[in-house]
Amino acid sequence: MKEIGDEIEFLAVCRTKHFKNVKKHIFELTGTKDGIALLSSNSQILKCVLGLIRDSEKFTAKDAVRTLVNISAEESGASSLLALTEIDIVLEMVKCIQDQDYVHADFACGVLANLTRPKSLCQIVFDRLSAESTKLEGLVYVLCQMNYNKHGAKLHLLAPVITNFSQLPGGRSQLMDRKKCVFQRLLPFTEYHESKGRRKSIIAAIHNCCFEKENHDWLLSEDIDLLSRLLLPLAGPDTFTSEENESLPIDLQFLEDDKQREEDPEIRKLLLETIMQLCITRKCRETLRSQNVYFILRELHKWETDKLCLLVLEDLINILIRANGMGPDDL
Amino acid sequence: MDDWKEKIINEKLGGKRNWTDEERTELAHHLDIEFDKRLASIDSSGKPATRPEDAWTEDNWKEKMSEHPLFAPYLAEQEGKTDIELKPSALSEGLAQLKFDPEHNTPVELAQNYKEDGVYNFKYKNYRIAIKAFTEGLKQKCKDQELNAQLYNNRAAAHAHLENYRSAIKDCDDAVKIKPDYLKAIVRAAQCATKIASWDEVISWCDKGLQHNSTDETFLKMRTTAMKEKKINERNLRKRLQGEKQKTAKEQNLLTRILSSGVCLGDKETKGSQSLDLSDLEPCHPAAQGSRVLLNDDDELIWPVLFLYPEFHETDFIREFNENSCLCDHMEAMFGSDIPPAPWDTNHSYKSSDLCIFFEDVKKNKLCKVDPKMSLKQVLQDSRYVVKGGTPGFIILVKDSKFFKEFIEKYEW
Repeated sequence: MKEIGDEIEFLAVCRTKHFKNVKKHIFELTGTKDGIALLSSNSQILKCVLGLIRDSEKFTAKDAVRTLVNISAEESGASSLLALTEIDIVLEMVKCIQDQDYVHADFACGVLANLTRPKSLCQIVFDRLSAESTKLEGLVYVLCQMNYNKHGAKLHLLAPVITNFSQLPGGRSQLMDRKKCVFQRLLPFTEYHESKGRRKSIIAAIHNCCFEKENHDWLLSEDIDLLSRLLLPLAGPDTFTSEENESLPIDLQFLEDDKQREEDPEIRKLLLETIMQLCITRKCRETLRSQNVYFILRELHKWETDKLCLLVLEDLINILIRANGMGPDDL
Repeated sequence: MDDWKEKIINEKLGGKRNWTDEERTELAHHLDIEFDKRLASIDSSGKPATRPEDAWTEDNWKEKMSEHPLFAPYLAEQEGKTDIELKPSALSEGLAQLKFDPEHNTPVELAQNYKEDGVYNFKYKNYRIAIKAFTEGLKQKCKDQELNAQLYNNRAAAHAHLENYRSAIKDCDDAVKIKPDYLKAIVRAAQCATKIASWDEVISWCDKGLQHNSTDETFLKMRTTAMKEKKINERNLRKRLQGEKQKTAKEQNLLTRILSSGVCLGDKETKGSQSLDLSDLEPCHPAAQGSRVLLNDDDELIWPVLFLYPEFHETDFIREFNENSCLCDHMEAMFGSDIPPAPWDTNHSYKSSDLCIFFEDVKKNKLCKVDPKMSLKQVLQDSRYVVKGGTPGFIILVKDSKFFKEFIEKYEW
């Protein structure tokens, strides 16, 4: 192993042309933890690999990015990548993602997702991102555009990146910037059926955003209307009278007969927990009651079979039907 | 020293360059006298001090003004003439030709001139003329892309004023294609899309605008409004679809109920019962218009029924005849002993106890007697009975009357 390492280093330092020939070996090395550790310890190699991500030869570029994905999957590898000085991995990945013509954008998203997963590194990545012109809002914009990438890259893995950032207070504050249109872009994806991963990540990000109760009023306001987006995946076909329908939030009125509920119980639980989070302040509890959230939850209760979901659901219903004036202001 | 000054000093002042104050005063005095002489000579030459020949007089100033290329439009505006083709004077035409002559102007100059022309007309609300001018400007396909973008944007504005919002949006699109950060055009496109309630377009234009200025309040506000309107639209669509679905289900239910109770519908025997639809239930009788058979809350059919009195060519229309009521009950209510006779019943012979009820068996051309104690439902179940125009009809005759005997002659027994 050591010999291979020396050889590779020698070649890497020499000429990129030769390096390209050994790229396959490099990629194979990433199959093992030791291999990754070896590569991570060598910043020259990492730089060379980075240099190849835009190589005109398709498979070279692809292998290069995939190598980075595997390296960044290990925290040590991610650390090493972030530690590179002459070249900024965050900037490079963001450039790839923003480039509508970059074929391997999905892998670039994967790299960023890996880099942001460890809590200790997430803040570093976030700070670097905020220093660039793109910022978090740029990534959200790219994520939420349909068919952004012209070569079929779906960019689903950008969603977990957003989730990871939503764990940081700075990330949340940028996501919920009231002077811009960032958070609003995420909302339609609570019912995005094309990718469960994306849907789950975005709902998780939204859940994290409900952490600070100072934002609850804004989130429940008419301009944002978060409540509708949370309830829609939990609502089934219309079973209400005309009057009951008219009393529901607009998005939930007169739902079609073939309306499907969210099929993944984990996601359902996440949605319910988010709504629960919004019940903390008394004012918001009143808002939820006035919008007749109870109707939707009642119907859900008849349909729900998952034990964990039922627990949260019943708690939530109890909070909502509790008489006014009782209980502390803030739960 | 300038040449012309040298010339004057040499020719008029004898080359003298150094003057004392006294000499200057004397020269000035001398010049004054010369000037007065000149003035006097003009006056005394016989001609009065006239104005130039083609000066405007009190009589002809208006006519002259309307022909003058510079003043004509002001006059027109004063008189309230807008958005019409002003007949240009020969001089105006000449100037225009020169301005728009390809031989005298480069494409950029032409485009610029057309743009000016368009802007000028726009200012005076002559939007159609403005559009023509901008179009001509674009036709030049000049190399100044900034100018072309402006021409598109200006034309869009003119279209917007004429409420041609689609055309306006198209022009904004062309302007932005040339100049992606053309915020004026982006705003205009979003506003026009709002006017025609094309919410997805509004959102997409606002997003374009927000790309260049992420905190722009105009775009944020328009986008939020569009999202709300879109939600309302979607809800209205869902409501309408649900309503239609319910209506169809209800009608289908009615039809099934009728057919399952053994009733024969329709004029055309060739039509199978599967292909029968609600149009076969629409009443044709003028009195029955708008009263179609329906299902009441107790799941009973309520029919519109016609009673025919061929003796007097009269009919009675019973709007709501519950299928479970008996014919005799209705007869009693209409022709009972304590009910005043109908206006056409001249002989007062139509009394419930004397009346017979029949229906026509069209197939066999027979007159079928009906037992009045039967319910409507039972009668309709008779295989010979065909409901036409969704309205069951019955023939009422006075038994054993003269008319009765003549009437039944027409039928086979």
